[in-house]
Amino acid sequence: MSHSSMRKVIATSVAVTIVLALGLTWIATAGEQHLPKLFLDRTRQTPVAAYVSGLVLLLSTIALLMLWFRKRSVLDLWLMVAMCAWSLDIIIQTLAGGRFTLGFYASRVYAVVTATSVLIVLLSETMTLYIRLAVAVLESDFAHMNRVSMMGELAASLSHEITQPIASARNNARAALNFLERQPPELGEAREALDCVVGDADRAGDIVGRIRDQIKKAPLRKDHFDLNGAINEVLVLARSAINKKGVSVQTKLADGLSPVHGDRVQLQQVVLNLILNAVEAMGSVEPGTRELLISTGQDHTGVLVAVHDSGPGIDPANLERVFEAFYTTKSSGTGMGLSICRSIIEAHGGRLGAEANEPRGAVFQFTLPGAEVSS
Amino acid sequence: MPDLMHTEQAAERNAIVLVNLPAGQAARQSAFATALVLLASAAIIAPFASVQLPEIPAFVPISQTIIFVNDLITSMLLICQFVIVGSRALLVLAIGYLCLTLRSSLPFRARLRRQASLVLVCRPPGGFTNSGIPASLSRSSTTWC
Repeated sequence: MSHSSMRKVIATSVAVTIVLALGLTWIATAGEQHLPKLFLDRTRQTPVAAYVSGLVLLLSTIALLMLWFRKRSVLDLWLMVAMCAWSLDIIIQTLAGGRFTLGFYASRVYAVVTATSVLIVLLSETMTLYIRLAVAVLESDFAHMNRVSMMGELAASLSHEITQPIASARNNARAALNFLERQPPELGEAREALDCVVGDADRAGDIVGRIRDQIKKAPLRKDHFDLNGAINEVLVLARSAINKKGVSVQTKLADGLSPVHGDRVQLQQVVLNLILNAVEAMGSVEPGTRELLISTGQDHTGVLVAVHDSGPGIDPANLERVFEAFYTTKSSGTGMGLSICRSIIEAHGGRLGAEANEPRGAVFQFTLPGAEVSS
Repeated sequence: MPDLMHTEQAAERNAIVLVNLPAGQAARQSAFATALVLLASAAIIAPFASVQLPEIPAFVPISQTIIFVNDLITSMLLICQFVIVGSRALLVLAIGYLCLTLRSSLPFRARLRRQASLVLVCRPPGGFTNSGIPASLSRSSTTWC
């Protein structure tokens, strides 16, 4: 549901409620003589009042029972407390008889408790959640900054180390050309120079490989955590992007997933990256058909996470290339996202891959070994 | 609204949103303790419920104001939660609290005379009449009059 339609629903509901309340108040005031009397005088009630109290009490009890048999959340619990206080309010008020009796004062106190219990729990739980989220965001910002500065250092050392073999390869290639231009061409010398070019290229390759190894060796913060919970947190972070593009989200998270052993923040970044990619890819298709499905599953080797989208999909020829560094199909992309994602998943001993989704779109999925395998 | 359904499905498992926050041991204990205190106090009060106490005329307006403000804030917070989660049940709950807010404020605003209304059932008599508030407000069934 988009924000504008949600706002409309809220505005309509509030307006209808206010109009209804005003209307009923007007009916009660203007049509007073047609309504059943609840009070004989300021203190004594008519029998009708007892029926009304009984009805409210019955409804409260039904609500209480419904909440009791539900899968209980914190909100449900405190709604039960509120219903309980409300029922007591009515019972004590019926027993009180008149104004300014002990029961009258007590029932007012119960009414205040009814109105306050849910408010207190909403405020305190919201603040707790807010603080936890703020800390998580700070942590992930920090992790991101670390990664960016690490990337900068890497790029500097990469360009420094790789210039030398490339310059050497250029000289050798130039020399080979010279040998070939002579009349007659000196094929032996040219072959020797070209061998040197191959050697230089191999050295450059070794340097890149060594740096990749260093990335892999960077110590991971490993702990056990619930992957489904981590994915749900990511969904909340991605919700504004998802809502903005009008994407409908479905989750199929397997129950009883075994805990994952790894770097929670890094794996969340992988999932976030996959979700944001999917959402961005679906920007080019019809608004009504933008569907994102996130699923988790478990088999004997470990845990499987898949992000399905209904976007234009990936050309089968490029399915592997999307994971290469600096390869991108986005106008504003750096081409590093999926390559970093793959490095992270591989560092956790898993695999990240892409395939075509049915009937359209793409699936990105990764596996992670079970906790007992990697620990 | 097909996408509302999807959002609800996604939110259903969304442990980070308050409504779906599973109740832990501590939350359960404090809720049950509160309920027990309420029940115990009611059991103690019940036999003496009709004992006449000194009149504190300001008591009703004060308690009614607290209820009004608290219900209003609760309703707003629940609407905020609805915006994030998109669950219809939350909106219904928020509107319910809004009804409570209106119920506790409208009788006074409307200068209700004498009789009970459908909106205003289940409020005890009591309030302003003895404290200089117009006598025309008396004999209504609501808290105010």
